[in-house]
Amino acid sequence: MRSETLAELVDRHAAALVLFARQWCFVPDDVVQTAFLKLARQRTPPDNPAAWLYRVVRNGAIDAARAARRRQKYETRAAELSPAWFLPTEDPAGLDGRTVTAALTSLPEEIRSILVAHLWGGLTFEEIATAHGGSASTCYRRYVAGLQLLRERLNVPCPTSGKTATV
Amino acid sequence: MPDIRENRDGLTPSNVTDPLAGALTRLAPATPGFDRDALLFTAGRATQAAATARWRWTSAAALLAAVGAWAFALTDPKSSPTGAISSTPSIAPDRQTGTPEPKLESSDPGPTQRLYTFTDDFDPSYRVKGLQLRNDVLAAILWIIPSTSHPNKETDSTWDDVERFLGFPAESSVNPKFEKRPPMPNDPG
Repeated sequence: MRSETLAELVDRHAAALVLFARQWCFVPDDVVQTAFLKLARQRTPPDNPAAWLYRVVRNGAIDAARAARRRQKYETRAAELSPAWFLPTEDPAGLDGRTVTAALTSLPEEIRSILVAHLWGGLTFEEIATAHGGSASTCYRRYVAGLQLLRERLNVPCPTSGKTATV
Repeated sequence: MPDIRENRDGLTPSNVTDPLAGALTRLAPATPGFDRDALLFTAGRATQAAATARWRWTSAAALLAAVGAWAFALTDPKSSPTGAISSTPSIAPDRQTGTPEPKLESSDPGPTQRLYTFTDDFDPSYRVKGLQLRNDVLAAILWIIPSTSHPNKETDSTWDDVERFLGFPAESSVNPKFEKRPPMPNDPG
């Protein structure tokens, strides 16, 4: 893989990939770096590097979480020192990053990871299906359900009914 | 922030239609905790190491194949140079029946045959005659071995026969006569 292509992928996806890896583990930076190094070592680059990266990061993050679970002490300390998921926003009308983080963490893991991959990773549902397994339509249904749950948690009115959505 | 690739799969909705999705997208994920340049440098080294390892294995395999082919060429008798003298023993003629010496059969006759035995074009009678002459020379002239065929006679051949057979000029085998040197003053007697 050419260095320019890799640099472009890092600039484009690194932050979202770290956020994506955070859905499972407390060492997202390590997981994402390892994924990029794996991509660089590939003899033939994957057809869809973004989907490939999300799949590798997901697998790596799950493995890291599994390893951290064996070290309960480390996990507790890492959870306390966990940095913010989002940069502080300067828009007063915008959502608060901490509130969104709290709402996201309350969601089931599968739904949460689909939301992150689509909203901040920019992946289509086909690409998300490639990364997660399953079908694109299933991912879409989970995404819609996740948005509804977030709307409820964040007390955001539903755009069509003008009421807060219930699931 | 990556752009959302809308509707490429027919399922992906536009985030613009959902205000919540738009508001969520406007939140920027925290910057990664790792150094981008360090990561790219490490990735470049990893790529180079992988490429070097591939070339190393390819070169080793090619070298091994070349050595194998060379060793095979050395040990394969079919690939010996044209006209080389072979150590294959020739089949001796049947002396009792007088049948001619059978020729060696080759599994690959024709122009591709590259293995020659110089006995193929050799008349067996020459060999017999030569051996007989050698025996006569050794028995009668040099008194080395006795002649079995003619025990009472010393030889059937003369010096002229030997010279003719060997292609020497006439009178070349006559022993030179030593001329007696003149006596020196220090000679005894």
